[in-house]
Amino acid sequence: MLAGKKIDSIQFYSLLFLSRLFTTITFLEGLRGGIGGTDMVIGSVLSAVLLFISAMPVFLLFRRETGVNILDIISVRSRAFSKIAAALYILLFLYTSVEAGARFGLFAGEVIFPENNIMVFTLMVFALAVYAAYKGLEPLGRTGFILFWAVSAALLLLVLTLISKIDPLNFTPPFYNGPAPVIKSSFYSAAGTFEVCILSLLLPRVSGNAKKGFIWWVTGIGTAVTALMTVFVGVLGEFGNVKSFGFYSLAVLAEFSIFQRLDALQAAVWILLAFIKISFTLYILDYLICYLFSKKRKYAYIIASAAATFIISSYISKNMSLFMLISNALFVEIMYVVMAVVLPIFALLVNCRGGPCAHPANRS
Amino acid sequence: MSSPVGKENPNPMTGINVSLEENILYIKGEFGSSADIVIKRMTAGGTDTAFICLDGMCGSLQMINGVINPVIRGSGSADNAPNTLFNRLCGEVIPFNDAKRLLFLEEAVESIINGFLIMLVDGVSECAAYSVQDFPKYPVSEPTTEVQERGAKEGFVDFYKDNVTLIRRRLKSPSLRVELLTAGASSNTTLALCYMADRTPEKLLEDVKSRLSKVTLDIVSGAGMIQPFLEPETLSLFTGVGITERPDTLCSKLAEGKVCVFIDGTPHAIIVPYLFIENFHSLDDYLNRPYYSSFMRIIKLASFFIGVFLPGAYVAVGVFHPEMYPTNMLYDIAVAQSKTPFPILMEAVLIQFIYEIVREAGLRMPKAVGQAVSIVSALVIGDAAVRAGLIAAPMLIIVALTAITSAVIPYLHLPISVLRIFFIAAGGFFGLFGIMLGAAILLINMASVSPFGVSYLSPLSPFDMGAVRDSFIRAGWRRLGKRRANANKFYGSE
Repeated sequence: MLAGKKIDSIQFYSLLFLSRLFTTITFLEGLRGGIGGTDMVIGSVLSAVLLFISAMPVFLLFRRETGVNILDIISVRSRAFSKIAAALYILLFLYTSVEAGARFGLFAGEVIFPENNIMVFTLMVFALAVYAAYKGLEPLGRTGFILFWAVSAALLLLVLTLISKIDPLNFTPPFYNGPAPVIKSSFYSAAGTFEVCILSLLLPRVSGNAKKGFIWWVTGIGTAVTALMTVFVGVLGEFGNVKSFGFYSLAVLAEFSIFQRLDALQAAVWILLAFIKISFTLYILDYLICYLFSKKRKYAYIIASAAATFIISSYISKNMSLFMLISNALFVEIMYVVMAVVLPIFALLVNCRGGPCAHPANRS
Repeated sequence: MSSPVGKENPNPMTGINVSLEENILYIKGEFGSSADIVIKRMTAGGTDTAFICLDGMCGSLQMINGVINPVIRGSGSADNAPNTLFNRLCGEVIPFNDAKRLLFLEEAVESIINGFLIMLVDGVSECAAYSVQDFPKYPVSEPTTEVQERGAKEGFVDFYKDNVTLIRRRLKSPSLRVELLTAGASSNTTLALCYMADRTPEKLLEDVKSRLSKVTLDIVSGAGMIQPFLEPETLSLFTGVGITERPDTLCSKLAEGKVCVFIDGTPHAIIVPYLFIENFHSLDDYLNRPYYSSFMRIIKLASFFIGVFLPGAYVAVGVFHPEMYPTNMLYDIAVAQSKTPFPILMEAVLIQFIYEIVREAGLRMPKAVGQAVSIVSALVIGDAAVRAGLIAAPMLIIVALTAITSAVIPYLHLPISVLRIFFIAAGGFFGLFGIMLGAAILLINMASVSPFGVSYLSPLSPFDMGAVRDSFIRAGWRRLGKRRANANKFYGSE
């Protein structure tokens, strides 16, 4: 099952970082649910803690078993269960890729080419993502590591150039409306991190210290999201509530030396996040479909997944209410709890009862 | 004897006949009526003997003084049996070190082709081959494509044996091994595989040999023909196979455990595996002070990015994001562009094409005419086109700058030229967004290139902190000397 070379934990977590950052950067004001700015900043910090806690079952599972993934562990008890789990993962990642595709469509339509038809550009992004997914996890990981630095530099530039524009008056008193909005915000932010589910599937293919990498990843995501949220709230204040893509509005205000507009450059760098997220999701979808069916049509699965994602996400991106429906907080949170917490706990119980599973290499 | 690669010989070998006439007939049959085959018959010790060689491939003095005269003087009485005579001639009479005894006629023919002198004795079912080659050779001279400020002035030549000697002189180690192979069904070109036995990974060596055995060419006339057989299977503009014409550079690569292949008849040696970052290294980097070398490496890396992305970025910003320019610059560029008839994208592509044509003409033309071509292109295309309002001056500056930057990294000129056009198109159609996507896909492509299992982007990704001191920067020799780079250490990504 876990064929292919292992990738370094730095590369793996770089991919997860970029993938998660796309959700933050393309954050839509409509998904905020009226939560105040300062509450969102505190919620970002708390979401990192929630992420850490929710990933515990996965790490407990891999503490007992090495070299196999969650599906292999479940299959020891029941092959049917593992197939059901794989099907659930396929649905999850299909949802993730469609949601990412739709987000990208909305972002491209509003920010990149507001006056043109974005269909060709979106199609190109998907076509290139197919190529990247086809190349496999190793090239994706190597590319992710390099892009991590490029994206980090761009975001750092954004934050540094805007620090001077932060107005302390824009920060509302924390817990002004009680702790509920903070908790709500942190839950939603953590639940949007479906990358935790990728850990259950691909962690056995990661070499190096995966736990240390995970801690760095959670810390990095927490820091990046909190820093961006702080600048977002501090600079835009109430104005941020009326903009669809708040971070883009933030980029418009950034100035550096003689360059008075850096938004196009920032948006161009953010495109890389969409590309990595879609490529990575397509790769995982291919991996899961291969598990469920046959490995023979490996490349056809990538193309089929991309085509399905492209068609559905293009449709959704033209209908904002439909997008809001699929991004509904309760729906996302339930899905996250089931796939990132309940399923690994189930696998852990199965493993405790069924005994250790053989390494895939030793199986007939 | 070199082992043939690239061709299979299903027919059994023909043994040398005891009859001299039969053997001569066979060889004549192989060469037909070729004017340069020389067959000299004589009697040695009362037995019919023949010397066969190709005219122009052997040195007359070596032949006469080294082989024929000793045979005339020392063949002795006619009482000897042919086998005894042959053994005496080979063992005592002919004082030649580089000689071999052959049992098959195919071997004899191959030796003749390679410039050996063949001695056949009637009644003996073997022959002797003497290495008396002396054909016209280009002398050792300064490399033309890899010019160094402080490096050695010797470059490789066309004859592989001279090249091996140039390596041996610098790498005085018994672990330096040379294996001879042949490639090309008709050309029978000699390939000399060089490596350090104690440093080169066994798997790498086996891989190289296995790939060379799959060379299915009829004629091998240059390193570029062998290169594709050693390249990774990934379709990419970048190659994991390096080329050098400097013995000093090659020695350092061999010391890292890499494998090199000399192709007889070409002054270029192939190096595998070859990483992306190595394109930015030169011998001068190691001979100059580290701070300057590090600075130059950063300059070279910047040159690569300017060469690939600058024209595309200029077009992208001009077409899609003019607000990114500072106001003064925007005004100047807008004024310049307004005077030209072409859209900025078309103008960029057009000038790039013209530049490539001029460059190609400069390369192929005889030196004297080449200079004239340069002047004409600089004056006519450069100055006059701007004055005539056909091309905007800022665009010409961009193209000139990119042309200079690609000269900084000569072995990356090919991918840079193609990528430049690609990014101009990406920028012209999709702005900076297209360029970023193009860059991402380029990275994916480069990351998927793994020459002999090594990541082409190593040590950047997978990242190796220890290797940074001799990649993007160059540490001083006191620090660098402590860590010996070795292909074993970066073999595979795990």
